[in-house]
Amino acid sequence: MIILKYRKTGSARYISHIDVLRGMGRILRRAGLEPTFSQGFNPHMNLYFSPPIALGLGSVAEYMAVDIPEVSPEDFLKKYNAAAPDGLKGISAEYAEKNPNFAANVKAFVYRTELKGSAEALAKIEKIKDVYNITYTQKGETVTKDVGALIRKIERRGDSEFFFTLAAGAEVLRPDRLLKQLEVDFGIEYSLPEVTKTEQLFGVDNPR
Amino acid sequence: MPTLEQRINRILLNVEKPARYTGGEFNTPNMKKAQAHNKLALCFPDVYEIGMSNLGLSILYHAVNALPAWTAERCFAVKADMAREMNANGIPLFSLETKTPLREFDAIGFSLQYELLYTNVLYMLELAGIPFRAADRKNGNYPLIIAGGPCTVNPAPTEAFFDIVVVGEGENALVALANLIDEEKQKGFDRERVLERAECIQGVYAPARAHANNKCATSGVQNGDKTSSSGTRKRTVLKAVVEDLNGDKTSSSGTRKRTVLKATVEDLNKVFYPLKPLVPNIEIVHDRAVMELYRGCGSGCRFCQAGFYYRPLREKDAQTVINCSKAMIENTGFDELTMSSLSSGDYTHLLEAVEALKDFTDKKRVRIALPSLRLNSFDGRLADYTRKSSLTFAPEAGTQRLRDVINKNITDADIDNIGAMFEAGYRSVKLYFMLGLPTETDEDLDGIAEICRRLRALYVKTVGRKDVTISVSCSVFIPKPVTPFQWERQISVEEMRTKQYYLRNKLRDIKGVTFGWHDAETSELESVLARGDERLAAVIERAYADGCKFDGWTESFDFAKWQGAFQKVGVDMGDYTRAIPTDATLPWDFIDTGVDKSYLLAEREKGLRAEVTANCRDGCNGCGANKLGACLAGKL
Ligand code: SF4
Repeated sequence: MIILKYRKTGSARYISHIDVLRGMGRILRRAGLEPTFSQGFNPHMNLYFSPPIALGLGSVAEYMAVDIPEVSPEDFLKKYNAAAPDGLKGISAEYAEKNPNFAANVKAFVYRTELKGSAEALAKIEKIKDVYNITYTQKGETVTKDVGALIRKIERRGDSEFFFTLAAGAEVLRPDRLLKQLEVDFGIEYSLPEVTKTEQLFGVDNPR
Repeated sequence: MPTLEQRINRILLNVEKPARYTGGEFNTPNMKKAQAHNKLALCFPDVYEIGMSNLGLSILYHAVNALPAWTAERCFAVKADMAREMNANGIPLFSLETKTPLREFDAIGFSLQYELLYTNVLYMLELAGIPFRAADRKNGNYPLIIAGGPCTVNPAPTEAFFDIVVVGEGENALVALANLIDEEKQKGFDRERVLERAECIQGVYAPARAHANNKCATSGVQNGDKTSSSGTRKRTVLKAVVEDLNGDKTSSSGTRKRTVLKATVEDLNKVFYPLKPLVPNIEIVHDRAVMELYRGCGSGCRFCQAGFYYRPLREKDAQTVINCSKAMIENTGFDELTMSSLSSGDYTHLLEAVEALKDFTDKKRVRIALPSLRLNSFDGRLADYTRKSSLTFAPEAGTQRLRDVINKNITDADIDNIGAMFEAGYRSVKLYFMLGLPTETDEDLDGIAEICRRLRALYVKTVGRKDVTISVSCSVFIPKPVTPFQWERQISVEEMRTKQYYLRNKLRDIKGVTFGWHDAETSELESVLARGDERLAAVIERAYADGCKFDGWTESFDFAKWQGAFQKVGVDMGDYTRAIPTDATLPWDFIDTGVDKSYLLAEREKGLRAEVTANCRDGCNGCGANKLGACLAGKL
């Protein structure tokens, strides 16, 4: 099993998860990489992905596990990158004994974003703790929810660069919902297409 | 100030399937070539998923990008949600590759695949901020607007919108045109001179100069087809065309148009073919590698425009097909390869090519699909190489008599041959028929039900089970230009509904049969636009202004609005649906497709007598098209 860490940037941000799955099959085929196939009437490549990222967000920390015999991680990465479109280039590759089951083990995602606003507002955001209510619409209904516990960490670097560590796995906090609320509460400005996932944090079986 | 690309990114999350508008596909050619100082936008007036499935567009795109002096970019019709966002944010229609406003291109080429896309051309021009009519673009440094694709077989209804119309096979003509524009730009671009010189390229028609003196007639003609080896023969043809000018062809507007000879590629083994086609990031309609096998068709089905329009009959060699197929799979990673042509089963080297590819495709786990097999060309051995889910056949008519009228050379015995394929493992059959054909009666509709009954019995007999599904799909016959049936009447909407209802009742009692049919109103409009003349430009503009667009989409087609548009402009749809006297001048008579009008007329008369004409693969029938190039490399 090879685990590939890859990015999803530029125009690739707008490719849905299901389309990425199909696209990966094509990348591997033109790379001349030959993963094992599932059995059955409609065989497909044995590929396993980390949880889908929301359409439009960038990422430099997506993972795909590939069941493929007889190839070193270095070779895999080289061949993969020669066949991958710009927005889906590989960052690193390594061996794993078995399918790491990303979805079951993921604990949190780290997102990077620029926030523009008054010094006072930005300072307040940095200090958000314990209790924080956000309001959003879901299936046509307005929901208000305390997500304080789902915000694992807020880190500010320099003036406007923020890193939000948000819960993932069983309970998820979507960055777009949090940012929208920050805009409402603190009058800050941000651009969703410029939000990037920089890390995925896994539990015990951390594949990285 | 944010760039156009940044402004576009901000609206993308508000629209459905944003990847339609981003570009970024694998195999996108380099848009920053050092010497590329000319830009062509290739526009397809339908959504991304449909446009990206079009082989012609892919060929032109990569052929122009192969020129050092040019880059070609793509643009598709945006859906209503995107158009709303663009209008609200002051974003003009842009190209996918570099997000450049269309207005800034040197030339824009529209692919006219289908008459019901005409309003979408206006829709795209409006979003781009470009006036509809060529006459209104004379000043203002607008891009040259070019049309190509199957619909240019009759340029009359839309020619007011275009500076240049390319008739026939576009790849060499467009490259010649691009070279000419490049040359003229360096001299200081003069629109008039460009049009005048463009006319010398085979297949190029400049509507504004339809009645002007054509200067290339005597000075020799620039043949767009670089693969041509027989310059002399071409010149003879053109001499004939020039002489024709002294004949009495008059257009409906009363004055004569210069005859335009269709562009033809002579050698399909030498012509450009894209071996690195784009790999879409979202699912498109034909999401696979497409290998073209041949052009033209020897069957001579009398209703089929493509079958006559793309003559002469030219094939690629087996080796070309094998090499190109392998290269495409390696360069794209597609898991499916389609062998595509008008009737792929007729291809001389089909079995040879498919067998030679088998080891390669097995190893790569690539499926080979043969989409357009004809009943009488199906070779049982090929069944082993293709998918075993569904068979697709097109008898087109229910009785032997009517199949003879339309020259669909399929016999009842051929239909019974399907038994062999049931044995090979197929459990479902898709059958295509046409309703409203010339001379059709209820008996012919009964024949469709009869075929279904027979196929079902055949399945039960050969397989011993009853789980076969038969899907019957009926389109509406439309008399199309440059076919033997170009003079026939278009059946009315009411008559068509009666036929559809009648057949539905007949098929209802047969187990395992589903029935689908094509909308009669859409077909009526398609018919009017297909045989239309210059008067229709105003109607298309009116219909668009009244809100018609995406007319090929059931959910947006609004027949009442179209009827209103005809009424407001004062044009009677009936003028274009009724039978046309065979001695009348047709709006497309000035287009020379190579096939003689007298041949079409003779075929029509044979058809009405229910006499068949053999496939010209068995011997030339003398249609005249081989004046443009030898059929099957001179073997016929
Ligand atoms: S010239 Fe002869 S062989 Fe060629 S398309 Fe016409 S009828 Fe067929």
